[in-house]
Amino acid sequence: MKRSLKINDEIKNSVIKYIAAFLAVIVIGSMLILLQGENPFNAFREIYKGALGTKISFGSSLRYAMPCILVGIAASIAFKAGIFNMGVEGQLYFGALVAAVVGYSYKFPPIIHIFLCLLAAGLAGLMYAFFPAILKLFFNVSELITTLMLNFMAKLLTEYITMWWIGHGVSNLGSNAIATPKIYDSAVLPNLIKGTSASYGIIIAVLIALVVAIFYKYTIKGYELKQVGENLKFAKIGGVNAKSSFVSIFLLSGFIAGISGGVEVLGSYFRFTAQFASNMGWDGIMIAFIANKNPIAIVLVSFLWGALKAGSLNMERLTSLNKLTVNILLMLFVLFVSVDYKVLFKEIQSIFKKGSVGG
Amino acid sequence: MKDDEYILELRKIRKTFGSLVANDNIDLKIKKGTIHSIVGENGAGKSTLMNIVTCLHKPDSGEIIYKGQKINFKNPMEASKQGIGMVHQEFMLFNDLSVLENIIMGYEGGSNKIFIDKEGCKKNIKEICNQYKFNVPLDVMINNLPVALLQQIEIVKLLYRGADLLILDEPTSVLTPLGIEGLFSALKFLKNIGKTIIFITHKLKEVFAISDYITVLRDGKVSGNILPSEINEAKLASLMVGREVILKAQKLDSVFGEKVLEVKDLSYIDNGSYRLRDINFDLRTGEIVGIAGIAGSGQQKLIETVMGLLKPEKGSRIFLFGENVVEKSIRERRLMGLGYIPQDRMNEGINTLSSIWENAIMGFHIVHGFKSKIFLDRKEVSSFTNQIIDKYSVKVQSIDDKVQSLSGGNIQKLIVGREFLQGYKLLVIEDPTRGLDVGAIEFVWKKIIEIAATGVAILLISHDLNEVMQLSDRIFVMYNGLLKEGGLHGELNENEIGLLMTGGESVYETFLKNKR
Amino acid sequence: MSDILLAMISPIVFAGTIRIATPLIIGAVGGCFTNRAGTFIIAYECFMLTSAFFATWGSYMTGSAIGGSLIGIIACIVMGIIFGMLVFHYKADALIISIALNFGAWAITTLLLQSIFGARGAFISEKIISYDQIHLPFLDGLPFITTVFNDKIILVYLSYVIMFIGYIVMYKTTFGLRVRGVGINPTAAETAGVNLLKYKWVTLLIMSVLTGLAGSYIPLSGVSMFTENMTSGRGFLCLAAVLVGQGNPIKAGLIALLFAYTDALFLTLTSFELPTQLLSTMPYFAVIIVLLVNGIKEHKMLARVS
Repeated sequence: MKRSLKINDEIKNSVIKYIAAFLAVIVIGSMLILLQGENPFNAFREIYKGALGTKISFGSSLRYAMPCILVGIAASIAFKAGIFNMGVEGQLYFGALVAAVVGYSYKFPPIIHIFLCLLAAGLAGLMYAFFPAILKLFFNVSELITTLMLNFMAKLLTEYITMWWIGHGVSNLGSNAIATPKIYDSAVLPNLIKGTSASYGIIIAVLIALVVAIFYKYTIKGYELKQVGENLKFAKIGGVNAKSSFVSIFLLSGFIAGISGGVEVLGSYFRFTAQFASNMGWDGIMIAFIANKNPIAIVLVSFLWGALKAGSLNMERLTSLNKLTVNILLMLFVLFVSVDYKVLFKEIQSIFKKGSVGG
Repeated sequence: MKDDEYILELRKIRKTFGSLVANDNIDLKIKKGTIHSIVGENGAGKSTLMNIVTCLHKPDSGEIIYKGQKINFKNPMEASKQGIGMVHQEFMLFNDLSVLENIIMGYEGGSNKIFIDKEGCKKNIKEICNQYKFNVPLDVMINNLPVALLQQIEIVKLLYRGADLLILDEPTSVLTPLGIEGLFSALKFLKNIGKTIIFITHKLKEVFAISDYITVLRDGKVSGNILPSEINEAKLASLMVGREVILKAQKLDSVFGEKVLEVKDLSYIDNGSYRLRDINFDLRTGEIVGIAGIAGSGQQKLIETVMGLLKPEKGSRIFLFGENVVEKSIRERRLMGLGYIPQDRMNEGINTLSSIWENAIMGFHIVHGFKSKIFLDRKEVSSFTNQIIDKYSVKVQSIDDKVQSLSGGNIQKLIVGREFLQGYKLLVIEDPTRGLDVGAIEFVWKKIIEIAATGVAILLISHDLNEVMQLSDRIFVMYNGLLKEGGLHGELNENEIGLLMTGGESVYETFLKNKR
Repeated sequence: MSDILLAMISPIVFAGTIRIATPLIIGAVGGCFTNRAGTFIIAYECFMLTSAFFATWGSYMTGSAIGGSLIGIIACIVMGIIFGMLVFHYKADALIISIALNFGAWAITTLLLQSIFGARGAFISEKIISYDQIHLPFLDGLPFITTVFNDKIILVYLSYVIMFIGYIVMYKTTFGLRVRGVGINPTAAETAGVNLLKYKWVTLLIMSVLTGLAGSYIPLSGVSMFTENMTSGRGFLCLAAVLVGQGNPIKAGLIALLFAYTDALFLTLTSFELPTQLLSTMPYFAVIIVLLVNGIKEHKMLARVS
C-alpha cells in the first residue's frame, strides 16, 4: 500500500496561500518601510543578515525560535481539541519561575538538574491550567476569558512571589530589577553553537514537537483526541470518552507551556525576571494558527518567526527603523493567511472578466 | 376560471438537485378558503415544493400563480409580505426573548419606526388572537413553553404578518391529541374567515378529519388529486406508497437464538410530549427486526436511547445480552458487542476531515484494540482497513487519502464494512442504502442478510419501506411514538404497512383474525 | 483591619472608581452590540490603543480634546472596517484576526509615536489638550457625593448616558430586537427577513465608535500624554465586562464599575503596605469570581430543571 508523499490538492492550496501572503507582506511591508524614510531593500537585507548572515545571527534565530515552538505546540494541542487556552502565557510564567527556583535552590548533578527543573516547570504550568479546566468542566465557565484573566494574574503573582520569597524587598524598583538569583551552572542548558545564544533548549523544543507529532499520528490516545477535536459526535458515537479528553488536553497544554518558560530560563536568561516574556504567549497562538495546528509546520513557522525576531534586532541597529516593524509584518502575515482564498479568487476572476468584456 | 377561485396555482413545477428529481412537472391548484392537504412519504417532494412556494428555492422550470398573478419573488421575505407564510417543522423561534418579541421580529411596524411600540403591537396581536380564538401569553419568555403553545405562536406569527395562505408542515407531529383538536378547530375557524391552508401530513386520519382537498405526492410526482369523500384510508395509503418493487432481496434461512436485545417500557418525553411511549420489543440472534415509519415518528429517539446517546425516562429498561444498560456509556455498550451505522452518514458516520484509515478504525481501536495499549499499530490498521476495502468493494486509491474523496456509495460501504467486521453481536442500522445506486443497494442488502445468517442480531430502521419489507424477519411500525406490530416477513403487504405508518389501526389484528 | 475597611469605602476610592470606570463602561456598551449580534471579536485592546494614539495626535493637531476624540474614533472605525472586511467578507476567523490586531496595535502605535512625534516611550506636549473638568455647583452641598461625582470631565458623565442609551437601544428599539435575534438564531432571523450582514456591520461600527471614544479618554482625561501600550489590558477588562454582563449594556456597565472599583482600591490599599502586585490582580480576580458565581448559579438551575 503506497504511503508516499503525494502532493495533493490540499497541500498545494496551502502552499499557494502562504506564498501569496508572503508576497503581500513584502509589498505592504516595503511601503511601510518607505513611509518611515528607509530603503526597503536595505531593511530586508539587514533583517536577513541579522537572521542568517553570521554564525551569531543564526544562533540568535535558533534562540528566539525555541520558545515559539513550545508555546505554539502548547496552544495548538488545545485549539485542536476545541479548547480556547489563551492562558499559555500565564502558564509559561509559572513554569519559568519554578524552573528558576529549582535551578538556584539546590545543586543537583548536571543533566538531572535540568531534567528536574523542566519537569517542575511543566508541572507548574499544568497546575496553573488546572483552575480554568475545572471551572470549564464542572461549571461550564468559558475558558477563553478565565485564562485571559489568569495571564494578567500570572505576571503579577510571579513578580510578587519573586519579591517576597526571594527577598528583593524594595517594590519601587522597576520590574527589571525584580529577579531570582542566577541558577547554578548545573541547571544551565548548555550552549549549542559556541559563541552564540543558541542553547540546547532548541533541541528540546524540537524534540517535544516531534513527540507531539508522533503522539497525534501514532498513538491511540492521539488518534482519539484528533477525532474529538475534528468531529465530536463521530468520536462519541465511536465510543471515545470526550470529557476526560478535554481535561487531559488542557493540562497537557499547560504542561508544555510551563516547559517553554523553563527552557527560556535555563537556556537564555538563567534567572527569572518579572515580566520578562513580552507577550510570547500571543506569538505562540498566532504561530499555531498560521501552521494550522500541525506540529511539524509549527516548528518550521517558529524558525521563520525566530529568524525574523533576530533579524529585527539587527535591522534596528543598522537602520533607523524600530524593531517593532517586524511585528507589523508578522501581523500582516497572520491576517493574509487567515483569509478564505476561494472568495478572493472569485473576486479577482470577476474583475478580470469585467475588464475583458468592457475593454 | 375565475381569478380569485384559486389562490395558488403551480404549473409544471420542476426542481432537481443534481441527479435527483425532487419535483417532476407538478401541477397543483389550491382553492381559496380551503384546507388542502398534501400527503406523501419522506422524499416524495413535499418539502421541496413548499420551499418553492415560499420562495426559498427557485424552481428549474414552471410557473407559480398567486392571487391571479405570476410571481417571481426573490426571497421568502417578499413572499411573506404578499401573504404567503409557512410554519416549518423546526420552529423558527428565539430563545431568551419573550413571546411578543418572537412574534414581531422583523415586523415591528408601528407608527414610530425606531422604538418598539410594545403596547400597540400587543393590541394588534391580542386582536388577532381574539379574532382567531388563540390564547397566547405575550410577556413570557419563550424558553420551556410547551410545544403546542409554540406552534400556536408560530401560527399567530403568520397571521400577524398578514398571511392569507398558511402552510403547515407536519404540525401535529409534536402535539397531543388534545392539542391536535385545538389546532383543528383553529384551522377550521381560519378557513371560515377566508384564509387558505396547505396542510402537509402523513397521518391519514388527520387528512380525513380536516381536508377539503387532498393531493398525494409520490416520488416527485402527483399521484392523485382527490376529495376526501371519494376515497378511504386504504386506497389513500396505496396512492402514497404503492410502487413497482424493483429490488428484491434473497432471504436466507436463519435460526433465531436467544434474546440479544430486550426493550421494556421505554419512554422518552421531550418538552412535555411523548416522543417514545412504552416501547416493548425484543431481538434475537440471527434475527433482523425492521422498524418502518415516517420520519419524526420516534425512530431517532429510539435509536439514541438504545445506543446511549439519550437517557430515557425512569422505568425504561434496555437489556443488552441480559444486562440493563440504561446507565451505561456508549463505550461500554460497544464493548458489550453493540455496533451502529448512523443515519447521518456525512456528519456522524464519518469524519470528513480525516483520512480513510482514521475513519476505518473508529470503534475498532476500542473494541478490538491493538497489540500495544499505547501505539497505533500501522500494520494492524492497514490490515483491517484493507479487509474492509476488499470484502466490501470500496474503491480506494490509498488509505491515506481523505475520506471525502470517496463517492457516497463507497463511503457507505466503508461504514458498513467497518461495523460489520468488528464482530459485534448486535448491529443497529439506520437507512443503510439511502442515496445509493441499485448495485450498491443490492450489495449492502446481501451483506446484511449474510451477517444475520452468522448469528448477528440486526435492528434495522429505514425510511424506505421496501427495504424494511425485503430484509426483515419481523416488522414493526413506529407511529407517533408508539411501536406497532407489522407482522412477520411477507405477512402484510406494502399498503397494509403503509396504513400502519400513517395511523391506521388494528391492521395486524384484523389480519390475524382473518388468518384464523 | 478596620482601617482598611474604612479606606475601602472612602469617597476617594469611589471617586477613583468613577474615573477609572469611564473607558471601561463606554467600551463595554459598544462591545455589547457586537456580542449580541454573534460576532466573536476580542480586539478591544487594538481598538482602544489605536484610538488612544490618534486621539493624542488629534488633540495635538486641533488643539482641542473633542477634536482628539473625533480623530481617535475615526481611526477606530478604520480598524473596524479592516476587521469587518476580513471576517465578514473574506470569512477569516474572528478570534485569530482579533489576536493579530491586538498584537499589531502595539507595534503600530509605537512606530507612529516614533515617526510622527519622534518620541520613544512617551510623548508629552503642552499642545495636547485634555478635557476640562466640569464643576457641578448643585453638588457642592453634598459632602460625599461631591467628592465622588463632581469635577469630572464630560466623558465621565457621558458614560452613564451612553450606558442608559445603550440599554434603551438594545431592549426598546426595533434595531436592538433584531440585533438580538441575529445573535440568538440567525436562521430564524433570516426567515423573518432580517439582513444578517447589515446588522453585523452596524453593530461592528457601533463598537468601533464607542471603543474609539473610550480609548480617547485614556490620554485626554488629564494626563495629556501618550505612552507606549497605554491601554495595558483595559481592553480585556471591557471584554470581560461584556461577557459577564451577557451583552446587557447596563449589566456590563455595572460589572465595569466593579472592576474599576477593585482597581481604585489599589492606590488606597498600597498606603497600608499591602503588596502592589497582589492588589493589581484584584480586577482580574474579580472577573473570575463573578464568572464562577454565575457558573454555579446556572449549574444549580439546570440541576433543578432536570
